[in-house]
Amino acid sequence: MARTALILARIPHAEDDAERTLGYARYLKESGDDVALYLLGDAVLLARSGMASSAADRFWGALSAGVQVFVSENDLRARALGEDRLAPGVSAILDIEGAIVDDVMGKSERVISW
Amino acid sequence: MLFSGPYGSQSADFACKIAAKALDKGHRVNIFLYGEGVHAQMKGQAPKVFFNVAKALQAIATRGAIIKACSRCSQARGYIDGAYDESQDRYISTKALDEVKIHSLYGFIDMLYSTDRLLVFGGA
Repeated sequence: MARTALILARIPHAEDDAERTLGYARYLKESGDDVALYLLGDAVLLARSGMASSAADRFWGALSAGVQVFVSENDLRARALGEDRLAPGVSAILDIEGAIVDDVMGKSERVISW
Repeated sequence: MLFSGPYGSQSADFACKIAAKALDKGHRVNIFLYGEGVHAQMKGQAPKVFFNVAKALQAIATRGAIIKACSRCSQARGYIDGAYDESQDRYISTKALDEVKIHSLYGFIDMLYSTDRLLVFGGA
């Protein structure tokens, strides 16, 4: 089983690229890949529970398909968000840079980043 | 590859922090500044509250990362003020950090040949 890591660091509701990334994540997962999605900066806003928008719909689709979602704990705190505000199944990581390096260099065959 | 300049977004911050972490873990790092990303090479950056991208790039370079900036993008934005120096394999610039080599896009292609993974940050 191949593994793909996707990294999204863009504002989720203002950019088509962000929505496309989420679509790719779901597509790759449904095609049989093991998929990890890392959210940095404003992209962490996507992982809040109760979101309703086209980008959020794509996010929920990816999460429901089984994409592993990780968000930067520092970027959550900077935006006054606690882990209690995250959608179920999303993990906050303090050393997300380290997690990304370990994933892209040691686990995933490919990486897509925006 | 960094497509965005510093301080307008966190893209440069992410690129520098992930590069530093990769060096911590023993990996080699190449960084190519492209488009608005070439502004990350500017000397004299002194943000009052933001993460200092210039200092981060200098620290990464000191630890062995190779950092290049696109010559066309740099020239368009006024960073090149001398001819190409063959002995140093770079365009001369008094405005850019010494740790960054201004080079043609072929420099990025050369980096790709020895790259296992490519991360891209920033862009319009």
